[in-house]
Amino acid sequence: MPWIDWELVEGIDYAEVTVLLKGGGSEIVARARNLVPAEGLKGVMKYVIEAVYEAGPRPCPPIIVSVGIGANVSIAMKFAAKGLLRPVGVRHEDPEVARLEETLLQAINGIGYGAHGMGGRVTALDVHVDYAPRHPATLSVAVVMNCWAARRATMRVYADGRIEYITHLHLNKEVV
Amino acid sequence: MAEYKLRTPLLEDVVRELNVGDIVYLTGIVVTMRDTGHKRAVELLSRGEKLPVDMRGLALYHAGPVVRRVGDRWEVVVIGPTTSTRMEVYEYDVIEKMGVRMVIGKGGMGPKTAEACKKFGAVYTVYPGGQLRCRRSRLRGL
Repeated sequence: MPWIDWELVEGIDYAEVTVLLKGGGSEIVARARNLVPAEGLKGVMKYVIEAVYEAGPRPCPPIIVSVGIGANVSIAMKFAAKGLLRPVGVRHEDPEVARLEETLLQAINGIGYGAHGMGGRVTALDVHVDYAPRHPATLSVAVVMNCWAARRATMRVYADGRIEYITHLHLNKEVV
Repeated sequence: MAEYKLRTPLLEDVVRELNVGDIVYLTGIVVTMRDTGHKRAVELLSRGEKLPVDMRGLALYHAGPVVRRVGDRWEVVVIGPTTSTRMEVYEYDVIEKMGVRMVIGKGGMGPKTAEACKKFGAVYTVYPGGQLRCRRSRLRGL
């Protein structure tokens, strides 16, 4: 059985279901760690860049890198995994986080792995960062990667049983 | 960078001619194995038993096949490459004892595989992932 994560959202009367197919190659390079808080954001950035550098061509670059920052590694990992659902090219709503995403993307593409590690300008298609509130005593960071294929599908099931396909619009025509 | 059109069984001197960056088009018999297949093959060989397929001169594909049963046969839905480093612990033995000439996968392998390639005359090649449909259409049989 696939693992299903649930999240309750107030004020909506539908269930939005997203399927994310993730390969083992891009999953074996996932990692999480508690940093010493003194390492700060710089420590987070170092950890992310090292994760991508050490992953090498294994996760099928160009990859999508997703980073979670939080009060413990399980929360950080949850945010990182969820970040893979965000479409490529969409920035975080907080401009400071958005800037961090762009800085990391530039740094990662500077590595020069390119497609399948054959060398090239694009090692990552995008970097997504999200964070949860944390206690000053802990700074957890998690990094998850997805291969470029990034197969996802989203649908909404409404209270009256109606289904709307969000990512695969052509399916809507076939539904009565 | 040169282009080669090769057929199985592959000869050692042909494989030794290949350089990093060359493009290879391969026609012939390709055998797929990943984690468990490698483990079983190495176990069988260490007990001195024979494998069901003679792999000498053939290509070994680190593949993630998805197949479905149609009547009395298996049909390939997709068959893409899988990350090769997981097979690093087995590949030296596989190349030495099974005589595999070409390993196809993705993501590269480690120093022990490189050593086996040099010593026994084999090559590691990368098949870009994500072109599953294209590959399926070229498949002649299973």
